[in-house]
Amino acid sequence: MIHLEHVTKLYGPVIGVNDVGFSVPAGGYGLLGPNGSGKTTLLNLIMGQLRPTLGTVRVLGENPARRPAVLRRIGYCPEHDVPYPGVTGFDFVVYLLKLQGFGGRPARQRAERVLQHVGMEGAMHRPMGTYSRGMRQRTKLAQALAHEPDLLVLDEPLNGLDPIGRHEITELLKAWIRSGRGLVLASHLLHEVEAVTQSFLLICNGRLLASGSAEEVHALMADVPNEIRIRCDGAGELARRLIAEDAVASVRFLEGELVVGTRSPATLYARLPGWLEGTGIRVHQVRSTDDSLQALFASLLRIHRGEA
Amino acid sequence: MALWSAWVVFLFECRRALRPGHLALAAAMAVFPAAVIALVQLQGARLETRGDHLWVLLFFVLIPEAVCLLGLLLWASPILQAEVEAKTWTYLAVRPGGKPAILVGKYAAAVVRAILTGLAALTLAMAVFRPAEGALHGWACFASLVVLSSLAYGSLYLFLGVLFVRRAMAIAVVYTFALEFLVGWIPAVVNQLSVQYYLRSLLGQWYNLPGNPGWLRGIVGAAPAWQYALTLVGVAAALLALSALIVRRRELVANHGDA
Repeated sequence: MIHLEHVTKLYGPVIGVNDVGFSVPAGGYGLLGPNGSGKTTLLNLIMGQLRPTLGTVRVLGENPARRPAVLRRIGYCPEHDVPYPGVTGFDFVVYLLKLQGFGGRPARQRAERVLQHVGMEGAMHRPMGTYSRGMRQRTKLAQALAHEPDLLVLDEPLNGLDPIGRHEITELLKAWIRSGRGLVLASHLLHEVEAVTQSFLLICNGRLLASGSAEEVHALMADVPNEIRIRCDGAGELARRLIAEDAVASVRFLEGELVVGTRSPATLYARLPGWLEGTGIRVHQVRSTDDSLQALFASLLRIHRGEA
Repeated sequence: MALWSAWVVFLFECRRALRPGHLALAAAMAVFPAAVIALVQLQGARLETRGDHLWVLLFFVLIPEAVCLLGLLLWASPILQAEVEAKTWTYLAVRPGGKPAILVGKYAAAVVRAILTGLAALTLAMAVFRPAEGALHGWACFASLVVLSSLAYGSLYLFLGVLFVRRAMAIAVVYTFALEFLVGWIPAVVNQLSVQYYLRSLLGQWYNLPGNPGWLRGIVGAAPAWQYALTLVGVAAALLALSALIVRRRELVANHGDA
């Protein structure tokens, strides 16, 4: 469905994406990366809005920059808010449907249907300037879905949605994947992507660092040093006990917490209750500092550079 | 598909132009020449004397040169800049009709707006001035100039806006003062670089201006009118095609502006 081969995009001296290559069939894929990692550049290359400086981009068998006709089969939801504050959500979707080649009546019928589908039935005839952030997100998604494309490309589509909205849109996207069509969902939040799909493309500093399922990514992480923060009473005693364990690489104190370095966080989590047994040490909180995507990417970058 | 897309964009932009703020601006521009002429007449100035065509020059300056030019400066030069800054371009550019179709649709809407405003201004000005003879001929001549002026200035400003996306308006203003208002009035071959020269020459042909008064020699051409009209239409078409070609190649994404 999407095939990128050694794609590099330069903005003058600045690297947007660097030697990215992957080939994905239909299905759902999460494009994960911190802010500024090159996700939007990659999506713009996929949508034909940018031309690669080097390499080739094929989407649904075509080069979208040269053959805009292929865009009829792609739905794109940009990160930016919906524009035209004086235009209603309905008119906006009708307008974009007409630009996809639909006539007046079919465009209006489809717009009404899709706006209802994303939960905008009550607000679709109001000017978009009066919309909440969540409504604008739903309208953006509606315009991407409206022409029933084969591939949906979404840039941070869950931003600004309340928990109910997130759940509804997540379910909608899961149903989309189940229907056998393609989805690329870009986000900087792991849990957002994990809720929709288990297939990841991890990008950082313009480089594709890893791809595969959640299990494969976790496997990649297995031997990477991780840090775990433990808030407890008797931290000194716990530190003394932990330093003797093989699974523990380092121990230090930071802001009243114990920071434990480990190459095997799973082992440490599993054995910690046993080490605490009978010590009288009371643990209030255990959390991994590497839960954040930023840490995951830092680790992957270290692997990429051969430093880990 | 491209023609359909251009038509859809044209209709959408025309509907947006009907919003109260836009209509008020167009109305103010349409009333402006009539108001100036009324004030001149109130002062007792004689705009129409035998063999003299002072009113023709005044109409020329006020309608195709002020109303149409100013309108297109506002509506045509920032076509791309406004889309990129408002981040609307991304939504429009990812459509199968292609980016040039979006540009052509928006250009057509800007030109139609300028023509309608120019024609309204002309009709109002004529109603205030009431020439003693040749009113219909005058209206037809100036209506033709309004159409040609809108086509030519529209494509010129669009071209500047496509070339200099981020500073479209500023560049267009500098161009207007430097080339249209300064170089355009130099009585030498260089004034043929301005759109105004061709519009002025058309006016000269239709009102027999080149020899009368004498100071117009050199700033008004003596070739047949159809040549000037054809030049303006040709330049408009060429600049529009060039703009479409540039926008097709140009990478415009909201995150990076003009990438």
